[in-house]
Amino acid sequence: MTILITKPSHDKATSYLASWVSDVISSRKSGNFKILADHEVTREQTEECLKKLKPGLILFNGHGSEDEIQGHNDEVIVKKGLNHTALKNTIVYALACDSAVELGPAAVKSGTKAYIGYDFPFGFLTNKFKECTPEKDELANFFKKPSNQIGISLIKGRTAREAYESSQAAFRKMISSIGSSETLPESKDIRFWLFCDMSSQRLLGDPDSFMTN
Amino acid sequence: MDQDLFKLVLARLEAMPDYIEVNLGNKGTLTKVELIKHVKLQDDFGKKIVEKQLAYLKSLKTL
Repeated sequence: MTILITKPSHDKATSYLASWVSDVISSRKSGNFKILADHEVTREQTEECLKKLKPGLILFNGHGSEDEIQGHNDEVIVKKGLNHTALKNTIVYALACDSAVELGPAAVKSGTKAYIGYDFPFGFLTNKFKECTPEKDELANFFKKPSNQIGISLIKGRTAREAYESSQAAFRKMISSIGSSETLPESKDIRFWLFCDMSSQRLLGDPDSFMTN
Repeated sequence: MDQDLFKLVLARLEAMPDYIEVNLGNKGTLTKVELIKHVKLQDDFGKKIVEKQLAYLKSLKTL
């Protein structure tokens, strides 16, 4: 079963998310990955992949809003009412802002097995002196692990519920670990934005669905 | 809006180190000054920040 991953990287936020998803991909030794990167993340290419490959799992990384997911240069690649039915029979994780508000419910209503996303802007902190090297930005890395936990769990065949609970647990563990480390001047800020992401993460659809190999 | 909560949220934002930026997708990358501006203006996003701060503070006992 194909795993479709989109990873645009045309601005600061998308560059960080594109860097993070590399850890998800490398967590599985072998897999039938189809990766759309940078300028490849267009509506046309996305629709073509959905139609021809019929992926069992889709990991969207990029910008979003309540009713859409965006790709390269913020081109809309999936939108409620436009092409959301193309997500039928898949499991979706959208690491993007707000899409669990309208797009996720519409997709599930149209046959998407499970949709995990956020109903608030997905936020993460960065150190403005390290934005050229996302992987070395220790502030952003606090947000990477809990978020990546969804993708890592799903590609290992875990259920949507297990993936969601695993991510929620990772958020809690991260918040707790920072709570005992007041030496960091950013502690309260990291904890708050981790809480925002944790509390706005949503699991829609069938929690017992999983990707079959 | 509860004025005590409003002041508390502003104080928490003021204490944020200057080198931190908050990346919020389509809202862009916000500095401390920009976050404070949203809260002071009480625009939709500013109100949501205050709501989340309140939820966060309430959750501290269980986190």
